[in-house]
Amino acid sequence: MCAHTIMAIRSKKWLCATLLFALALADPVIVLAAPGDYRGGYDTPDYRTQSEDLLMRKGSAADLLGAVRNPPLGLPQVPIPANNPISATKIKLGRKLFFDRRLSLNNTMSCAMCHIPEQGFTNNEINTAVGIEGRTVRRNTPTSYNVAYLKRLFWDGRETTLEHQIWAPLLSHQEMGNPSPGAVIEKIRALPDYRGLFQAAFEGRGVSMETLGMALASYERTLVSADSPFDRWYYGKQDKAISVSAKRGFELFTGAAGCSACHKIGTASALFTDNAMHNTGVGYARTMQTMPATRKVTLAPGISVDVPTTIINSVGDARLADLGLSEVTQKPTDRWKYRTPSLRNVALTAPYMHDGSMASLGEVVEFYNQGGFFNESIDSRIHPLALTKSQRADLVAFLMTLTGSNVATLVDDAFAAPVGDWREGDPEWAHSAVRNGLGRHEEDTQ
Amino acid sequence: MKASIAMAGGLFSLLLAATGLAYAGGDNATPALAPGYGALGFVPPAVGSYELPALKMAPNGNVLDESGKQVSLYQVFGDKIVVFSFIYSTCGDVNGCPLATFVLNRLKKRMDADPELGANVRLVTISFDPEHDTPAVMRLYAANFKDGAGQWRFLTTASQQQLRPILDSYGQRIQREVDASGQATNTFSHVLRVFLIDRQRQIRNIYAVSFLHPDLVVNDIKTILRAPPIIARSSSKVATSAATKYSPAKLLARLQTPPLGLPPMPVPADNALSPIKVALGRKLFFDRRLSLNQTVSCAMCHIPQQGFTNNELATSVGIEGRTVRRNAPTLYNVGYKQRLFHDGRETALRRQIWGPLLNHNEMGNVAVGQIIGKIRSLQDYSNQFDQAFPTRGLDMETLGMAIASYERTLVSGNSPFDRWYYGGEKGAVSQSAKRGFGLFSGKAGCSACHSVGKRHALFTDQRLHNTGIGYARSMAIEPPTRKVEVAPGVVLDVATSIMRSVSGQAPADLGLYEVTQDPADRWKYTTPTLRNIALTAPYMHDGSLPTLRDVIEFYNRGGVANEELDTRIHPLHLRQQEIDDLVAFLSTLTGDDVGALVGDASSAPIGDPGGAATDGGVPQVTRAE
Repeated sequence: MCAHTIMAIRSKKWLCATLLFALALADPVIVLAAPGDYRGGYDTPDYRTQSEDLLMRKGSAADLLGAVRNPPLGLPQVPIPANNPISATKIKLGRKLFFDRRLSLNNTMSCAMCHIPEQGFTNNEINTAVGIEGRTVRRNTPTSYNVAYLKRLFWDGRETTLEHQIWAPLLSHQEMGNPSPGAVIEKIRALPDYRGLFQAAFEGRGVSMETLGMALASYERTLVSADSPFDRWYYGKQDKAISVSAKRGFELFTGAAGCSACHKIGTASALFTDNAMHNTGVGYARTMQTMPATRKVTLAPGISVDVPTTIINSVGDARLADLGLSEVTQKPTDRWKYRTPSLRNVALTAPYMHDGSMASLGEVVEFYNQGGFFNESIDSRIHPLALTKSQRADLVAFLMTLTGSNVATLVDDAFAAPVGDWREGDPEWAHSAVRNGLGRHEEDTQ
Repeated sequence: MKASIAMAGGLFSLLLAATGLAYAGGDNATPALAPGYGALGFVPPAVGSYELPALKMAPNGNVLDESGKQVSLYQVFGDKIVVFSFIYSTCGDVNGCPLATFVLNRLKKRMDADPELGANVRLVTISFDPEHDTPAVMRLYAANFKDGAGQWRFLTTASQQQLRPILDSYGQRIQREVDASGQATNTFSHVLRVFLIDRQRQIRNIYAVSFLHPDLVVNDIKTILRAPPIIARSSSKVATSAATKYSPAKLLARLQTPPLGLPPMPVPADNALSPIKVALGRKLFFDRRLSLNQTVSCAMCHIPQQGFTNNELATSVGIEGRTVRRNAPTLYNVGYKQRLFHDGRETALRRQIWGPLLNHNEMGNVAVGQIIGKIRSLQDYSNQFDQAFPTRGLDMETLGMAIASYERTLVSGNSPFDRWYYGGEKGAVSQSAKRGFGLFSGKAGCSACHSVGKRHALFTDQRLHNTGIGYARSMAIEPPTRKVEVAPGVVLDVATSIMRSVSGQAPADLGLYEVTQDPADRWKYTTPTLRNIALTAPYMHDGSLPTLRDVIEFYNRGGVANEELDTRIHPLHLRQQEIDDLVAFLSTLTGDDVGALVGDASSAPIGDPGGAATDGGVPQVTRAE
């Protein structure tokens, strides 16, 4: 719908974007982007595709460094590793890399294509990520909000530093498909728009395995988000900041429902995670449970149908095994343990759980109300809660108050980021064949 | 007296066993007798025709001898070759302690009859039931076997406390059985093990029930007596038996003036070589803890004794036996390579390591932090990275830089070819090899890609080419039979259809295309160096050509035609003599100090000293609560 609006009044794209954005904040699961190609001149021989979405992206840069130095209300100091002090130059470089699709084997996938800024820095439309050429990824994309505070990265907690996390998606056959670190580094080295940027950010060091990770990590650290209605109520002492229902939800969260045993709230700040690994039964159910006879499939917003599982299986890949932490430690006692995610901005980061199997917060609360999915290794803190329907609604209301006040700012800043390999008005952008420097040699004429 | 009744029981089982009768015990079924009781069903290998490598140091321990005196195991072993068994006297399992005692009895008789055995061997039996088997009990045993030249000592321990460290260090797990009402019985369950220990206190063999037989033990003893003393296994420095050993400093010195035929080693400006880095890189190279489950090190695919590759497999086998797609490239002269891996996807040695480290089928690590965290937690690496890389310590790159530093020292040159071609030594190679070189750089056209320069030769143009090997594999173009070496020197022709019927599907492999996504790059692979080629069979990126002759015949046929075939490849019309000459030439490319490099590798410390357990490399995180 916005596409046609844009064609008529191109100068008003920002208005369209803002309107959509306002709608997004009201209903967290709406899709912001207006997908599709600009079809002007479609019938002419020199027609070139251009993404409408990119044309719409006219955000404004934010003071990301300031946000790291002074995190919003409710968050502690951002931990910065000694060997990667943060700077505006690093942040800018990391942001450029984050949106650069040339970091994938065939120049189609950037970090932002799974960690979509306007979709909570995750993907609201699919349970588990989809990578290069449509390949299946096993797990749900975790949000990048507040990732600076996490001590365990990935759902199975196998990585501990942001600087090293990048190599998993970069080198994963299913995600960005690069065959080696050298392929990525040589490609960046050959790109004219990166010339000098690493040297400027890292005191003369060019692009390398470490500096690439340090740049991206520096940008990711700036995605801190708090000063939510909850924070203003709980830490800011503003009594009217959240509803009475949400207050009741908070009481349950820290009381009878026992959520804060893992989703921790501190006296001066709250990460809503204990940075530990737990078995709630989601992974066990996925591995052990026979599927129900039908599954609900959402065909369009608000339109769902029940499809027999046999039909879904006949056109889908077989489910991939997923044993969680035990794949890392090789210990059977660690089976189906996944990390406690932060609940900040949880209203924006549907679907939920490591496999995206729960579409709404209501489903999540219901899951825990039932006592998770029982198995021999289930965390001792999980048990049936016997909450009433209105108590469950209170919990959901509470969770909805955890959305930070700077979400629009961060998304706007993301929209202002340069998108690698695209330049507005450049007719060649879709067809520039960017080799990774490892292909043919001109001298092959002998 | 309790001891004598029990002793009678023990002797009774011994007698039964000695007469070869099966002991029914409490079961209805009579157990089959272990092979040690009967005649050996085969001819053992000739004495001295095999090796018994040292398995580990035989641990010492405090024991009581037959007179009740406190002695150490080593004192009892003395300067003899020892056959060491663990028993308990009330054992009723005919295939348990009675078997060990029966076999040792037969050994004693052989020792009594054979002066060489009598003079050099000592039998030692120790009880793991100190409560029951006091020195007095063991004296009763000893009294039965005191005659004759063969010495047989019977030991026990003063207490469980004294016994336990001995059991643990010899890997003996003992458990006293309980009956239905939970009362302890006089029966133990344990796994029978008899140890053969040489004069240097090295365990050379460990016998189990299925092959404990006096003939085999005597065969092993005589093999030890024939062979020179072997290298003791310990983490301290040891001397190699023959070749000159290189230390990290010596390895580096070789690079100052590279061997004849090789150019100066290119070293990145930010990773200058140093002895500390080389030593650290070498330690890492042999460290099996760098894999997910502590089983696979770099050296397990790049085996020093097998040309720093694997001569026994066409394609590598990784963690838990997983299939790897391609052949392990040799590491000789890898410091000169500009394109790493067969598909040339990596350009820096320091980055190359992350391919095998993170590959599910190779070393199986699941995250960069897992390896870095594990190394950080290992005591024997503490502050080594800080010393080698003072401003950086351990990170992704310095890990690669250390290993690369060691790999750069694996230069090998001054081969017979080098001495002839660059050194002017007319007699360094045979006439056949000289003719072969003439073909190599002439009619056969090999040097178009396997380049030879005026002052040095890397035998590679550092490029990637399609010779058709990859095409043939993708299109399943196979000969009707394939040669399979079932034992050293024994080669059979097996129908390819039979092999396919028991094999997994060969994974797709499109070479450089997988890196560039350019169809013109399909089935292009890197030109390998030919230095030390005689040591690095089998050949090609998939190890599909077992011998050099097979390789030359492949090129003689013009490779395998396909639309991307390199224009330099075409049928060569070589005669048999010319093929022989080419093979002779290739065999002259072996560097002169391979033995020393392998010897150095053999003396490198092997990770996990003392079998220390690691925790599987879980990232260490302080808990929030």
